[in-house]
Amino acid sequence: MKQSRVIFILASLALVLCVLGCKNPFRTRKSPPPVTETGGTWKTPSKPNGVVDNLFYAYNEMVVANFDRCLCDSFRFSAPEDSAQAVQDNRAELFADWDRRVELRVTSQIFNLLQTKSDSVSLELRFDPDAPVPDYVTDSTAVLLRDYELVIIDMKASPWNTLTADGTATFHMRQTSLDWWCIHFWQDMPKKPGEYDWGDFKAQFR
Amino acid sequence: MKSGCCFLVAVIVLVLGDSRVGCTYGVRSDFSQDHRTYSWSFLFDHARDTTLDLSWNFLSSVNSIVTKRPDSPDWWQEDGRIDLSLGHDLSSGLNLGAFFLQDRYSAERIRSTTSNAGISSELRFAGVSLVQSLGAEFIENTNDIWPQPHRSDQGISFSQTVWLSPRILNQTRTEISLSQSLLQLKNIPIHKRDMSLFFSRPLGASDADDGRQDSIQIAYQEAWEKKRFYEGNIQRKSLRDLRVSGSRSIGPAMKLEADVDYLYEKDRRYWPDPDSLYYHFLSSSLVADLRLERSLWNRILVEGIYKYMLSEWDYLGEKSDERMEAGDLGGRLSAGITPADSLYLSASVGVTSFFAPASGDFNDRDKLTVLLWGEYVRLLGPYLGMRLEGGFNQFQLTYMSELHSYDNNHDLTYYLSPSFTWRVHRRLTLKQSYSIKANYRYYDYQKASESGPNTLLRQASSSSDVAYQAGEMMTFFAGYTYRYEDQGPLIWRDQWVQKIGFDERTNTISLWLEYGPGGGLSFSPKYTYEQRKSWNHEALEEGGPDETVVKEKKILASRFFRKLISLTLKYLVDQDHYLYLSAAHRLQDETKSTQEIANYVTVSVAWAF
Repeated sequence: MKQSRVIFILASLALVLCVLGCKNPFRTRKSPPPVTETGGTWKTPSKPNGVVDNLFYAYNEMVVANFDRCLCDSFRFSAPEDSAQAVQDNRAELFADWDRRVELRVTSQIFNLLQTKSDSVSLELRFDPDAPVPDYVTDSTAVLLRDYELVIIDMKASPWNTLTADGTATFHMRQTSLDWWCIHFWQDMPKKPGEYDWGDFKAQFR
Repeated sequence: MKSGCCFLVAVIVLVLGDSRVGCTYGVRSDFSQDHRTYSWSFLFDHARDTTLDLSWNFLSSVNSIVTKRPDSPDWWQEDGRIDLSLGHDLSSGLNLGAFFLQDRYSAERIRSTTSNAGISSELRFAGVSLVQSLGAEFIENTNDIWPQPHRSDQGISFSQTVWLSPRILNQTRTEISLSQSLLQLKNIPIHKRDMSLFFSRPLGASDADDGRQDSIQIAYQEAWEKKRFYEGNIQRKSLRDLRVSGSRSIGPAMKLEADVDYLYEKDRRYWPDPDSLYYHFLSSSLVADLRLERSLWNRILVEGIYKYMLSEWDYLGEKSDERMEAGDLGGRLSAGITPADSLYLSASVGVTSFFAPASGDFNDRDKLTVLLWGEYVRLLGPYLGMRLEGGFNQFQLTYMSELHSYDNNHDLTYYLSPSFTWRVHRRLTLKQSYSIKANYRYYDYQKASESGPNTLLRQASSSSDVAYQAGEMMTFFAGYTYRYEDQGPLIWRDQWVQKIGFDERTNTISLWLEYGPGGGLSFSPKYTYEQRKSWNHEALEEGGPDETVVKEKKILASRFFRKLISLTLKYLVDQDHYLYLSAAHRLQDETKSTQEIANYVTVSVAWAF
């Protein structure tokens, strides 16, 4: 019994030390007042379409935290044609195991790069307002297809070099009671076979 | 895929004609049509052991997807696999075999076939297992965008794995595995080496009721890979992973579990000249968990968890270098307070910090997450039960850069849902549920702005359900749900004030029945009707030039209705034997959009013989 008590005290001490020494889970750092007036846009994702809107704003405003909240914990990304191409090029791992962690790291890198080189590179995401297929929404799941255009402009080149990723994104979503709607599966297809698409663009940052 | 299909059919005929003892085979087939996507899949597997120490396994699968797209050609995608292996036990310690594996993939203009055939051996002696294989690999790739659309490669494949479990200490388990594989293709050779060590030692007597015996476990893995691409460039990757975990009971009612995992990965790519390194990526992560669990009076289980994570992604000074540090403290409580009351609570609070100094701190940020959830269930009588669920989420985002701190925001959601179930009669059950939910989102530096992004969204719903059991085989269900939602901007006037900009009301009626005549057969038709109306709230000025009155006016923004009829037929024996048929027809219409009619079909068959 005495030994159990000693172990319990040591375990509790270890837990307290971990909490104090490793990372305080209760406090964020202080933030300076802003010098610019460009706020990120966010809608409560009470409907599946709200998630697509949030993703659109997060990408164009490059707010990675808003993008983060569009994805479910079990998120997966798939680009069947790009991954088939990668397998043929002996790069099977390029699109393999593309989960939420990978997606956030890739997106964070895209935003970091574009923000730090904002004078030379720009990016704009556009969704076609007319969905190619009507949205399929049930009580707790939804499938939304959106035609997109991702325009990347290299402003250092003369004339400017414009690269357009053109395709259809299929967003499979689900609803949980408190987390509203989120994307759990995102499939990307080029508009025409072989064309540059969003998956190709993202893979450059993996 | 034609030759593969012929081969598959031939093997199925052979196998189905064989009824010897020691033979198992199964078939599974699925078809689904969802909007414009048609999917088929077929899987056949067969395993057989004969009395002559000869065994063979055969597996074949084909998956096809067609997506019909307006204004674009249909998208075709297919993949298939044939896996055949033969084994013969020459003695109790030696097995010789042969294998054939073929993978096919086609996606429109892309076609790939990889075939591997060879021989294998498995030698077992004194707790050591040595598995070797030698084969020939053929790769055929077709891709229209290449200058030469056809590309093939072939070569020798060789792999070797040694596995041993030496007895080092009493009551301990040690496993060592060493493996290497070489795929000596002409253009894209791949060489891999892998080592893993595992050590486990029980702590104390093995009398844990829940099967979780006190123990300490150490696992270490080291992997290395080198491969060449078609362009001639070379990739070298390495990985090291050390994981230590342990659990220890502290007295009869308390348990401590700890887990630490350190992972280090390196990826370098260069042109054959050793100095021309063009890509360098290092990543490391440390994840540590500490969990303390205590049972009180055999009725209450309390659990406390602390999780710490540290990750670094280093591109050698590139602007995308980033470090992440996170701490998360949480707890769970589940209690059977009395035979009629039970309670479940969970809570967690954590901060994740991202450090991105190379980006000029632009994406340096902290994310605070607070999650609370509770559920209380009470039996108010032998026929009446109550469930109360409630929760709270808070996300707070803080940017460290003055160029980005305009986005600092708070996102709070509150949820409460009581429900009552009343069994009026042994055949009749009523259920009434309510829920309210509110989401506030406000920005630290944009509080007073009327056109700012601060918003409030509120939802409320009421559901009434009736279930009537018309006999042993048939149950009728009816349900009605009313849902209200409004949203609008939040404005700070010494306190938060909401201005409703939009509201929406939805009515849903559902009718369905379940008919189960027995033997695993069930039939369930369902009809759902949903109607939704949305209004915009606009401020209109009325009156003359001397006196202007601002009045709020509701303007109908949209009308929506949906009808859904579905039929489901199930014949379920167990997870290896079932038949499932489902079809649905949906009609919906909304103001400013065309009427939409959609059909959905799913067919699944699985049968193991």
